[in-house]
Amino acid sequence: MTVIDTSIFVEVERRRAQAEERLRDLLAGGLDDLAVSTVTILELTRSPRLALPWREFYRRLFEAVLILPADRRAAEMGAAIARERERAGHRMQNTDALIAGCAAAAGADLLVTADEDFVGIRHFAVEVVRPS
Amino acid sequence: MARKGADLTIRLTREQRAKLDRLARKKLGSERSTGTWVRRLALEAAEREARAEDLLRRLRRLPAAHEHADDVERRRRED
Repeated sequence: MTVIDTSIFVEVERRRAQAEERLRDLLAGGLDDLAVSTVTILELTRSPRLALPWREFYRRLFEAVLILPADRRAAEMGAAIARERERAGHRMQNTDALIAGCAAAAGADLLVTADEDFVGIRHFAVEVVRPS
Repeated sequence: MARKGADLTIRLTREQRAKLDRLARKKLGSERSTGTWVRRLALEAAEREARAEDLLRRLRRLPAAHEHADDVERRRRED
């Protein structure tokens, strides 16, 4: 299972070519194996600034992919990951830690992100799509 | 080209059929037919493909949303 982090969508909203190309590849590769965390849904749709076409795109996307719950197990795994990263000298934000926890609890193989803060997590592979 | 009817016949070897029967029994229980199960799988795959194509089409048409992107990023940093 591949989890798409919020930061990829942020870069796609900015029309950054590499993020957009990667998202296209992921969608074209099939929806069965794609997932987002409930945290990503909250982050992307809470702002009143989100334009209607984007809101509709996200609604359809979240209907089509797997949704990883931010439940107790995800929170505990996210906390453990954040502790590990902090011991290694990298402080994680709560939302990033919870997304990582959701991915780890669901047994994800890969997290695709534009955020370097996920690098070094050992529970799944991390692919950083750098802005271009 | 001849128009296709609504029915679809799939030719399988005996071994392939037996494999599908075993899996269908495991997935659905013995009261449902292998054909029903295969039909459902195929239709679900077609539906997923249609959804992916719709998303890709929409993605191509979406305008840039810099303000919203900045908003999401700012909230992430503030959390």
